[in-house]
Amino acid sequence: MTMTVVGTVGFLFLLLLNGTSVAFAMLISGAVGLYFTGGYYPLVGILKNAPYEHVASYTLTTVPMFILMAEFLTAGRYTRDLFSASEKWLGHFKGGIAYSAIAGGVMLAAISGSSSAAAATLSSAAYPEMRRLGYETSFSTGALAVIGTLAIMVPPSIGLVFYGIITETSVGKLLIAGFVPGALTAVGYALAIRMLILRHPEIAPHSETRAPLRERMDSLKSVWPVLILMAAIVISIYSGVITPTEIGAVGALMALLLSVLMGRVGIKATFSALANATRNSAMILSIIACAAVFGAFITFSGITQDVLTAIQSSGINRYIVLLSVLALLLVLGFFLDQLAILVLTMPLIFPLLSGMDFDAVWLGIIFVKTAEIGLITPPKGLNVFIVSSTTGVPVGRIFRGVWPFVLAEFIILAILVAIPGLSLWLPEIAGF
Amino acid sequence: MGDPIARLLALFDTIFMRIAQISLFVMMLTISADALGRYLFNHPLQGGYEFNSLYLMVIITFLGTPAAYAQGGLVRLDALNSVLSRIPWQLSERLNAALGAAVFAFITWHSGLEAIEKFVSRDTTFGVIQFPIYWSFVWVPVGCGMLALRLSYETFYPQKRETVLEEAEA
Repeated sequence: MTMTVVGTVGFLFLLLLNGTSVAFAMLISGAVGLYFTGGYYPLVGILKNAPYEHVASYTLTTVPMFILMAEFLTAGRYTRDLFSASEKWLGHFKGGIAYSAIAGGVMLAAISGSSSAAAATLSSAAYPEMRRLGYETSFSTGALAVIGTLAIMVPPSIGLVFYGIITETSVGKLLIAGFVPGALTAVGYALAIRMLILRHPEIAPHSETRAPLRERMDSLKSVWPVLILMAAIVISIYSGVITPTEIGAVGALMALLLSVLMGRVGIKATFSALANATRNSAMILSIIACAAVFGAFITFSGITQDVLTAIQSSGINRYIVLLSVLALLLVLGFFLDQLAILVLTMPLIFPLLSGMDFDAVWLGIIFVKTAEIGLITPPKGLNVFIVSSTTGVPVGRIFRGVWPFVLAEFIILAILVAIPGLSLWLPEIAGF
Repeated sequence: MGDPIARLLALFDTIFMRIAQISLFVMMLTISADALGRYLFNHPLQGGYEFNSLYLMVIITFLGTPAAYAQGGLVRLDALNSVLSRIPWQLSERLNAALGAAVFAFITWHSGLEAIEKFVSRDTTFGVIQFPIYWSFVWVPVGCGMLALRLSYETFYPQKRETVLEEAEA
C-alpha cells in the first residue's frame, strides 16, 4: 500500500512538473492511485460522484460570492479611491505613500479576498506617485508586492475560506481568527518600512505638501459607501449572526448597487466583472472538484493513519512535525499557487496534525500565512510578477526590494506559531 | 482541419461560460433574497439552499471550467516551461492533454450513465419539500465531455505554453 501511495504522489509531482494544471494532475493521479488501491469499481464510484458531491455545497458558495463582491468593487474603481483617500491622509509623512499603501491595502483586503487583485490595484495607483516623489524603485515596488498579500489573511480571505472548506473547519471561526494576524501583519509591514527608512533615508522622501483638511475630507466622499460596506462585513463576520455565504452574497449585491447607483459602472464593466468572477470561481471550484478524487485516494489508502501511528510510536515531538510541515509549505510556496499548495497538502497533512491535537483554526491561520509568503518569493512570487507587469519594473529588481519584507514575514509567522492565542483569542470571545 | 474544430470548441466554451455567468448572478440574487427575506421579513426563500448548492454551484464549476481552461486560467506549475518547450513535437503538452482527455472521457461516460439513471427515477431530495435533483446531474457529463473533447483536440493540436508573466498580465 505504501509503495502505491509513494508511486501515486511521485506521479502527481511528475505531472505537475510537466505543466499539467494542478486540478487535472490531482484528478489523473488520484484516479490512477484509486485503480491500483481499490480496483475498477471503487474508481468508477468515486469518479462519477466525488467531484459532483464536493462542489454541490452551500458553504462553498462563499468563494464565488466573495470573488464577485471584489470584482464589482474593482469595476466601480472604489479600490483605487481607497488608496487615494489613504494617501491624502498619510502621504505627507516620510515614506507616507508606502504607509498609505498599507492603509489602502488593509481596506482593500477587507473588501476583497484576492491578493493578486490588491497588488495590481495598489501598484497601478501608488507606483506613479512614488516614482514622481523619488522613492527608490526596489523599495517601492517590493513594498507594493508585499502589501498586496494582506488580502490573503485579512477577512474575508479566500485562502481561509478555502482552507475551511477542504478541512471542514468552521469558516466563520477562521474569518474571525484572521483579524488579529491580519492586523499584526500590517503592523509588521509598517515597522519594516520604518526601519528601512531609518537605515536608508534616501529611499523614501517626504511628500511636497500636506493635503489641506478640506481636500482630505473630500477624499472620503467617494469612499464612504465602501467604508460602510466594509464595516458591515467586519461586524457581520464578528457577530456571527449571518453566515459568511450570506455576507458574501449581500456584499456582492450591495457592491453592484453602489457601483450602478453612483454611476461608476456601465453594462460593459458589469459584464466584465461578472466574467472575471465566473472564470476565477470556476478555476477554484475545479481544483476542489478534482482534488476530491485525490483526497478519496488518500483516505482509501489509509496512509494518514499509518504515518500518524508511525510518528506517535517513534516519539518524535509534535512541534518538530509541525515545523517540518511549515518548511515543506514554504518550499512549495516558491513554486506553486497558494490555493494549490493547500489543496495538494491538506488531504495528508491536516488529518495528521489535527490527530496530534493541534487546533484546526490555528493551523489554518499559520498554513495560510506560510502560503502567503510564497506570493513574494522567487521564482514564482505571483505578486511580484503582477507588480512588474503593472509598473514595468523588471522582476529581479522587485525581488531585491522584497527581501527585507520576507524577513518581517518570517518574524510574524514565528510569533503566530509561538503564540496560538493571537489567532484563537478573538473567536473565543466572539462565542464561537 | 484544425481551425473549424477550434472555432466550434470556442463557441461551446462561450455558451457554457455565459450560462455559468448567469448562474453566478442568479446565485447572488437568490442567496441575498433568502438572507434578507429571513432576517427582515421572517420569510426565507423556499428551496434556495438546494437550488444554489445542487444546481448553480454544479453549473458554475462544470460549465465554467472548460472556458477557464481554454483561456489558460487554471493554476499550473510553470517553473520548467523553458525546458519543456524544447522537447520535440510538443510531446510534453500532448501527454498532458491525452491523459486529461482519457480521465475526463471516463468521467463523462460514467457520470452520463448516472445522470440517465437519476432522470429515469426522477430523483428528488428527502424531506418535507422533495426538491427535484435529477437535472443537477446533467452538468457533470456535459462539462466533462466538453473538456474531454478539447483535450482530445489538443492531443493532436497542442497549445503553446504560457509564461508566468503572460499569466500575470492576463
